[in-house]
Amino acid sequence: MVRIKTVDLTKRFGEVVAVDRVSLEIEHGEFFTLLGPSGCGKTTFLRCIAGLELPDEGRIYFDGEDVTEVPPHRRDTGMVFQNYALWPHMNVFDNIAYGLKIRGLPKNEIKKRVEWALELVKLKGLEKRTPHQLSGGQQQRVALARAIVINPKVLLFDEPLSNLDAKLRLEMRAELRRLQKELGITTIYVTHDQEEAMSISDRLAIMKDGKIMQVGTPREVYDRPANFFVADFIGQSTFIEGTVVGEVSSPVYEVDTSVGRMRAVPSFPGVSFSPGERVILAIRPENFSLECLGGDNSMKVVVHHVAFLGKHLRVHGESDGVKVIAELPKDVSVSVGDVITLCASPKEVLMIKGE
Amino acid sequence: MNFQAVFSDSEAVRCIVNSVIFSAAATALMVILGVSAAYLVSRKNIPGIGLLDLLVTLPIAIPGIAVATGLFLTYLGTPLSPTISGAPLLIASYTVRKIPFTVRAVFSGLEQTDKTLDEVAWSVGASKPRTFFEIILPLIALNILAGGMLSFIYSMSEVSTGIVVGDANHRDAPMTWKMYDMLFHGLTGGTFQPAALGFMLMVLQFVFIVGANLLLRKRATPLIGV
Repeated sequence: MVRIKTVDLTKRFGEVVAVDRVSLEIEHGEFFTLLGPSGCGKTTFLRCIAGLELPDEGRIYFDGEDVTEVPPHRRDTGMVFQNYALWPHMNVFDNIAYGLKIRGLPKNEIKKRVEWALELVKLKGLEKRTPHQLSGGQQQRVALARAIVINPKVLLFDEPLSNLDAKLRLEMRAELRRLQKELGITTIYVTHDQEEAMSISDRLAIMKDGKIMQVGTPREVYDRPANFFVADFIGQSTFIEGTVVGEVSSPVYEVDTSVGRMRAVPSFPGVSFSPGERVILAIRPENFSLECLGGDNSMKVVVHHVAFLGKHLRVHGESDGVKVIAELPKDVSVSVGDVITLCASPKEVLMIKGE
Repeated sequence: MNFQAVFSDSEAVRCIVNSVIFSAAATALMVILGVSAAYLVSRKNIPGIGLLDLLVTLPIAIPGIAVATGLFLTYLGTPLSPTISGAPLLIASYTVRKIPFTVRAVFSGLEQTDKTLDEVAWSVGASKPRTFFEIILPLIALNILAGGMLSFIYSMSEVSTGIVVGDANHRDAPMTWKMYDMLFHGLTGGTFQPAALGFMLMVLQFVFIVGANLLLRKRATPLIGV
């Protein structure tokens, strides 16, 4: 179990800055996720941690020890790749045992540890199979067993679930999380799937163009997005552009928008706005309501589409050129073409600096 | 009949043995150099590494007789002179001229072996040399075998250097020189004995090329010809 720290980590590929001065601290035993669209540099960052890429600038520390130039085979990291990367000429047992053989453990000790790892990933009895005799899910479990059997300081996952089908992905997600907590190994996980990142991580960093846009717990980044990119990338929102009128009572501001004057609060604590500033207001679908309380913002919405999602209705509509997404209780009767009045409390309308 | 005549001619037998020894030695060299070159080109991101690729492929474009006379004139009178022993020049010439077959076959194998297989081995603690021998080598073994077979059989049938060097030193001459010698200076048997030798070579080539193709099948686009 180690604490990982990077300081101004930078990696360039020719003209492209894949990782741009990234400074992060990942705690002992933490499940930390790097989330971002493809090409945002999250995989390159992970590969720097693994030692597979040498950063152009910046340092990497494991528990205070500088490992920036330590070659990958001396870093003691277990890595799981998207394509599983099982060695096709070895059976399941040998794939898992390889790292232990390198460490020169005695045969019976290797056998014991491989059995332990196989039990952990629920693959007992498949020792003699070769990789091509396994399903995708089983292959990924072997890859996982191979990474944890060496009891690494750090576990690194590069989009490990994206080749699995949806149902299996959900199962594996829960299992990965359980395993990681059981073993307590500091983990860095890379994915472009925001739902996966939200459900699996202790904390996550959202990346764009090689830069960290925000670091926080899933709840923090969802409820308190630091910028428009994060608000847009995590979950869904209704976005309304506007101009700040002024602060009415801290922290509530008044904002002029195309759907009228609205009351909103800064999305991120401590950020202040001045009159005349361009802002974007963000409202989460579940924060709309059909019942207005005094002081709420309200807007007239023309319904374009209604989707029944089991526990609620998802309503897509438009209000003076603004696209609106709202979640309403499933027992209300709303149909396409209706004009409804949606309300949102000022504290649920998040004010973000315009870009 | 003609085969009997060939095998009772002690010089013909010696030439066949020469060809096999020199080709085998050259193949060993080609495998070591070829696998190294293919590995560097496929796995190392060194600027200008493409030149190495060109260097080991280019010999196909150079006429054999140019390589042969070049080597012959350069080393004539030196300790490696073909008049002392034909072996060094023949082995060198085979290696230079036939290495593309090994390199191409091995390179295709490496390109089909995902680089994450190397990376995951490093991550569990295997050094780069260890990863090469225990992970990569077993996975490209068939490509090496097939490439080596092609390089070997094309060395056996190499003509240009064989005749130039063989003429200077009959003791170390390969079988291709013997065929030429029988054809133009033969006292008995006319064209039949060299034809018998040629037929043997042809059958051998057929077997090796088909064998290499079967081994490679979808693992590479084999380089045939020249």
